[in-house]
Order: sequence, then structure tokens, then C-alpha cells
Amino acid sequence: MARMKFICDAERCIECNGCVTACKNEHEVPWGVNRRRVVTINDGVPGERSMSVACMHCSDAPCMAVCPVDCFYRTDEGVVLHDKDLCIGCGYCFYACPFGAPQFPQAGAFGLRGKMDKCTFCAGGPETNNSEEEFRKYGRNRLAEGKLPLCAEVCSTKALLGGDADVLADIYRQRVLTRGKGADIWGWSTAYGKPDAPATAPAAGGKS
Amino acid sequence: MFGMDKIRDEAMKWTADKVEEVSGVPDDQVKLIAETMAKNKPSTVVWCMGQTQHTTGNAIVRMMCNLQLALGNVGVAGGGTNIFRGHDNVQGATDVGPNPDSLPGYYGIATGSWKHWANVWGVDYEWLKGRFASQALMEKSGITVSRWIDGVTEKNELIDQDPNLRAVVFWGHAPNSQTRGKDMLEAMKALDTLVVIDPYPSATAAMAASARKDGVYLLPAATQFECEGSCTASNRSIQWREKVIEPLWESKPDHTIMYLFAQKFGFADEFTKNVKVTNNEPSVEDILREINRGTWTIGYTGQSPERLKIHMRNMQVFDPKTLKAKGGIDKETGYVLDGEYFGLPWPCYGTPEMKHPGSPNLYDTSKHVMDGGGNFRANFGVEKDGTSLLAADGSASKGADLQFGYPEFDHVLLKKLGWWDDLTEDEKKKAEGKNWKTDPSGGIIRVAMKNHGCHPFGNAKARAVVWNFPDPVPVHREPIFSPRADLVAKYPTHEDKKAFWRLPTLYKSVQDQFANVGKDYPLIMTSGRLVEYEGGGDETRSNPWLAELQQNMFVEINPKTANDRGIRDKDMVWVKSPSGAQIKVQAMVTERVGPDTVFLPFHFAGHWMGKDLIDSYPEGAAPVVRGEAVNTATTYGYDSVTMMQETKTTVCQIMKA
Amino acid sequence: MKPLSGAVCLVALAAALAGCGEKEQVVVYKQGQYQGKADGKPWDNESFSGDRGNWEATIKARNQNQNEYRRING
Repeated sequence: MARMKFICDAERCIECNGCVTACKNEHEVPWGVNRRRVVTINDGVPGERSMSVACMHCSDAPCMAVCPVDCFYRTDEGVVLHDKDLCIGCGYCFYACPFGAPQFPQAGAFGLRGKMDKCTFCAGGPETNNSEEEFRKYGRNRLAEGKLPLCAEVCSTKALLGGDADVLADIYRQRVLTRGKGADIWGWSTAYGKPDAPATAPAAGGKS
Repeated sequence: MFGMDKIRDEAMKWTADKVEEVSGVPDDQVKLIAETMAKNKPSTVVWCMGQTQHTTGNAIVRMMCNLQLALGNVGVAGGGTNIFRGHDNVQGATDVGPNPDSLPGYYGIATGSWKHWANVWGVDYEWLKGRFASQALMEKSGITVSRWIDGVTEKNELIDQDPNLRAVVFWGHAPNSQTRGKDMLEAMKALDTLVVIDPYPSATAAMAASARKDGVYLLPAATQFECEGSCTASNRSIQWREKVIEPLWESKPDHTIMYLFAQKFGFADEFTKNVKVTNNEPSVEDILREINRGTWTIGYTGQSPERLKIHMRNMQVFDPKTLKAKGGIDKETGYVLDGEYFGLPWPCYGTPEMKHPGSPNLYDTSKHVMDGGGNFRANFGVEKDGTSLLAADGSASKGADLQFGYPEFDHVLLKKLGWWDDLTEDEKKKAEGKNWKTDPSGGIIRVAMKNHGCHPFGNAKARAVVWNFPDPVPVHREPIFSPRADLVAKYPTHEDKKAFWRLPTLYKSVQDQFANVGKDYPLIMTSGRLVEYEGGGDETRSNPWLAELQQNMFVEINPKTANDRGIRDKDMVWVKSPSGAQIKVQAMVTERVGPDTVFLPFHFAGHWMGKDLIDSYPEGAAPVVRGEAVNTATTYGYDSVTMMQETKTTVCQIMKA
Repeated sequence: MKPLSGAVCLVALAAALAGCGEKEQVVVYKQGQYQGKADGKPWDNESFSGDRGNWEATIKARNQNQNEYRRING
């Protein structure tokens, strides 16, 4: 099995926040902690795009690298999790993460942050799978039930895909071939090209 | 088609300069739209409230239909005009429910319609008539929800009924969804009794409870998850919804509340003549069966609870594009699903036994009527101004025995065609003297459709010109409150109406009074929906996940407009309207709106002109997020046919708070 | 002076040797070891009875629910 990954297709995301609401509800995430959020670029003008962002479960996770108490681990499927009992709430993982995935439930005096919380790929944490304790600390463990992250499963347009990277790659490839464009949400021209460089032109007869 | 030439004549008057002057859309964009639609067929036009909530809403909507007719996009898969209703089951509500001008199924309120429904309900027509103050009132269109406040506060001699309104029941209704909030508060104060039936106290708590100390009652109703039943989607498919949990605390399902009221008022027996009641709850299956037995007009007759539940159990056999079942046999009952359309979209004619598959696209002549096909209906007479209104020769649905125009089916026509003897003896007895809409056996429909492939509502031309409307050819008229006095002069609104849906309804007099309103209120104010919230909003703003996503009431304002007023993003601003009301909201400076327009969502309530009304809510029942209701500040204006409120366009001024 | 210079040399030598024995001033990161509790595998439960292959197949099959081309023809 390949690693678990998320991919969010900016051509399809309609900023409905269904993923955000599903995650909040499923794991009873408190007010102020945003495991998943939808980011919109160029809001209100032609070319507006949205993307749903949470923890990317990086292969070489910066959060894991910088943690002073080494509370992070990676499962066999590539899901990056952490132990809240060890976490000292220093916030260093938040500095390191380029996606802003680590979230903190408190904003107290002297930088009091509480235990770091983040997207778990619906895989819970280092407590007994599907136990009361695991739910209280980390939310629901859907992987242990043979299910996939709820955000991807409820996405209304199937913009957000989550699961086995090989399967996702196949789905995404078929989609790009069918519609003839929109493969370039990431890539050289997007990252370094001119801001108004057009996306690849649709193939003749291609459908959006 | 009837009258398309008159539409063409009107269209030729609209040169590019006129179009741009009135709509702000430049000619090259209009050309692009026209070319795109002409070259990409079939295409569909979609709208929600943006076209209907104007004084000319009926004209705008008719123009869309005319456009699609002209393009040949009507009656084809992928074409048509597709309106998204605002809520789950609004379509069901308007189909069988509380319209002030009609009984269920759009039968209207003439004597014949009352007699038909008295027959279906199993009650004596005279008894039913006796419930009303007079037969005249029984057959007169009532006051619409958009005008209830005038029913209370208008001078008694000007309203077209004896007393003013003295009591109002809000059944699942949020008052902040209706315009003229300032006037509404006065109406609430003047009422004898106000009853709110809702799972949440709704914005009524924030308004009525803040203004009066007694006479306001809250009855807790169950949410959609606490009861089951059928509901109709925007595409006319009906789905059977199941109960998830039992009603919490003291809340009761709507039909139970109705039954308890009927008991209190002494007509429980008549109310549930054909419906079994268990523990004060009328059976929802029986209610649907009663609807099935009476709603021949729009074909709500074939969707029995059994067929609907079978569809829900076997959703996987239906093709997502065509809605058609590809084979499929229900395990529980052995029912054959092949060829049926998911949810049996109405019209699903005839009795459930006739097994009509539903009609996924209206007026589709490429299909046989027993396969969901249809044609334009003959609802408006057989001829007008010397021209026949019936369809031309050769124009009919696939496989119809009559391949030319024909009127609605009734016992006379059936006899004339020699098809009367196709009916069974029992059907003949019931259908004698009736037409297809009032025949309780469904035999006329069965013979016309199943035996002869003809449409029971006749086969006629589509009307491009609607001669019984204020503007037979849809024309432009400026909204009542317009910032452009010059356009108001060129395209004035209608004349005032003395008694329209029982109330005096003003048009020209208000527009003239405010002809120069653009000087002090130069911005066009429009309102609409958000994704996070729904309707009046008190229910969704009580959900912490959704509330977190949109924590403030806001006004979308263009950067240029904001800068001209010294307003920066997230500043608090006052939005003032000619109604005299002003609301305090947060500014969202964005390019989403043009420099001449501002947009406000209508889902907020709980603030009143700058004041937080949290104390007016029952303890613990206030929503997480509260804000100003845009309708506190909206203005007078109603559609000339439907009395729909003109919420999509009025004027305002904005200044920093 | 000879014993003094000898002592100086000895001290200088000791100091120099002490300098060689000092640790590097630049921090070299060593990959940390996870210090927390052990976590169970998602297939170690009643539904999958420890069968990893079964779990992986279930996940892969469920993943196809996110592919709408399965239901619609292209």
C-alpha cells in the first residue's frame, strides 16, 4: 500500500466548507481550533480559486524534525501523528509547518498554548484504537474502521481526495485527461510563472 | 408557439445603448452570451430568487422561458429553465400546501375546486363552506406572507375583508426573511396573538419578545430528523425521508401539532377522516395516499409511499445522468424498477397501479407520455384573437394516437373520440360528468395515456404572450426604489392597485414619491444567501461549527465605494435605507460587488439597529452568532402578479459608524 | 628558569590538549526517536482480526467512492 495523502483539486473546490464542518463535527473540535480550513485566493475576481488545507502528512515532516520532546511519529501508511501526553505546547512545530497545521486550544499568559492539536487523517492517536480515551484526545479513528477521512468522503464536488496515493493519482489523472486541463495546480509555472499565465488550453472537445 | 412575433417586436426595440443604460452590461458581453447560448445547445438557465424578487419578477421569469423557447431549449434533456428552490421541500410545500390563492395541486379556490377536495377529504362541502365567514371570502385569494403586516396595520376600510388580521401563526417561518422589518415590528405590537411553531425561538424572539410582554407563544416543533415523510426536490423528484431520532423533549412533529389543534377546535374527525392516528400522530403514509387520491393536476397521484420507499431502497439502479432505472428488482417486494425515474418526478400521472414512471423533463415530445414524455398544456382555452391555441398538425408527443393539437380531456371528449368504452364500469360511474382533474377513479387519465398515448391536459402551443398579466409582453420597468431618476422617468413602474390580494398595493405613488431617492441613497442594495447559513438563520447560527465560519453580519462593499467614504475592511458601518431604518454591520471591502452595489446576507437576526437583543431570547436559546437583519432596512415593493417582495433591489447609503 | 618554562610548556600543552578535547560549537542534529506511547495498527481489531491485506483492500475499495467516473459514463 502506498502512503496516505490528501490532494485538493483547485479547479473543483467551491469553498462550501463542507470538509471543515464535517471535521469539526466528527472530532468535536473546540471553537478556535481549525484542523482544516478553506483558503481562497483572488476572492471576488475572475480566476478565484479555493483549496482545502489541513495537515499534509509530509514524508519528511518539519514538525517531527523540530519537536524538542519528540512527540511525533509516522504510521506505516505515512500518517503523521503525535502524543498529546508528551506535548509541551512550545509551538515550535507551528513555526516549522509551512501549512499552519498545528493548532493550539489556549491563548493564555506567558505563551500558554495547551496541547497541540492537528488533523490526524482520521487515524486517532497513540491510545487504544476506537477507545473513549482516543476519542477524547484525538477524535475519531476512521482508519481503524476501514474508512477514510471524513472531509474527503463528504466533499461535494470531489475536489478534496484523501486516501491511498496510488489510487488518488489514478483518479486525478483520469479527471485531468477527461477535462483536458487543470493538471497544473502545482508545478513550475504555478509556483514560479507569471501571475496571469493561462493554464494549459483545453483539449479539443474536452469537457470541464 | 403563440405570440412569439410580438416578443420579437419588443426585442428589436432594445438596441445596445438601451441595454447598457438599463442593465449596465456592455454590448460585447451581451453578444458573447448570445453567441455562447446559440452555439451550445441544449443549454439550461438556472436561477433562484434573483429573477423573482422584483416588482417585475413575473416578467423576468417569462422572458427566460421565452428565451429558451426561442432557442429551442424547452422540452429537451439538458435544456429548460431550472429554478433552485430555497429550502428542502419548498417545492412540496407550494405543490400541496399553504398558497393563499389555491387548494393543493394548484386547483385554485373556485367552487368546483372546493367540491373536488371536499370529495377527496371525505367531508361535506356545505360543512366546509360553513367554516368560512362567507362563500365570497372562501373563494377570494387571501393575503400573502409578504404582506401580512399590512393586513394588521392597514386602515380597515381599505382592505378587502371585514376585520383586520388579529392573530398570526408563524409555522416554521423566520420574520427576518420578509421586508420592511421596521413596519413588521409595529404589526407585531398590534396583534392580539402571535404563535411561533418552530424548533428554535427564531428571530421572532428577537423582534416580538423585545417589543411586547404577552400574547406571544412558542410551540416546539420537531426538526426534519425527528420525523419521516416524503419531500419534493427542485427537480420535482420525491424522496422518502426517514426518522433518525425520536423528537427531543417536548417537540412534536408538525402533523401531530396540526392534529392536536384540530382536536382543540373540534374538527379532528373531519381532519383525519382518511388518515389513521396513533398516539395523536397522523400516519404520514396515509396523508401521502390522500394527496395521491386528489392531486391529478400535477400528477402527484402515482407516487405512493410504497413506490417511493422502494426507490429509496434501490438508489443504486438509477443512472445519475438520466435518472432512469436500468433494470432492478426490489428484494423485499419483487417490484420491477426498470424504466422508472428516480423519485417519480411529477407529473407522475394516474393511480400508482398504472405505474407511470415519472417525468424527468417537462414537455419532452421525444418520449411517449408513458415514458415521461409530454407536450405543452392546453390550459388557456382553444383559441385567442382568431388564432388557434392548440398545437399544430404533426406536433405531439411520441406515439400519441392524436398527432395534432387537442384540448384537455374530459368525459365529453372521451365520448367524442369513442374511447369512453375503454373505461371499466366502475370508472365510468365515477368519471361521468367529470374532467381528468376531478375524476376520482383516474380512468380518464388511464385511457388517454396508457391506451392512446395522449396527454390528459391537452396538446397546445406555448404562450409567449400572457394576455391576462399586467404586461402581456414582458417589458422593463424600473424598481420602485431606483438610484436613476432618468430611468424611472423612461421606464416607470405599474399603476397603484386598489385591492390586490385583499390589500391596496402601491407602485407608482411610492416610486414618484422617491423619484430622487438616488441623491441621498446612491447605492443599490441587494441581499441574498450564504453557504454557511440557511433562511432566517437562527437554527444554523446556533450550530457552533457553522457559526464559527461566519461570525459577523457584513456588507460587501467595493474598494472604490469604501475609500470614497473612508471605510476600511472590518470597520463597523451604518447602512441606512429610505425606510428610515439603519443597521450596524461590519464592512467587507471586496471586489465581489461593483462600485454601485452592495450586498448583504439575510440570514442574521438578534440585533436591532445597533442593539444586541440577547435578553429577548429564552434563556440558553439564543444563537451563538447574532447580527442585524438586512430586512430591518428593506423597503416597499411587490411583484405585480405574485406579490413577491422586491428584496433584490432597493437603495441605501453607507457611512462609518 | 628552566623548571618554570617547563611548567609553562606543560600548562600550554595541557591547555592545547584541553582545546582538542572540547566539543564542536556547531549543533549537529541527530534524528530523534519517538518518545511517546505505542500506537496500535488499524487492522488489529475485531473487524479485520489482524489481517493487513484485508484492511488494505477495504481501504482501496472504499477509496473508489471518491471517483465519480465509476457511476457516470465519462
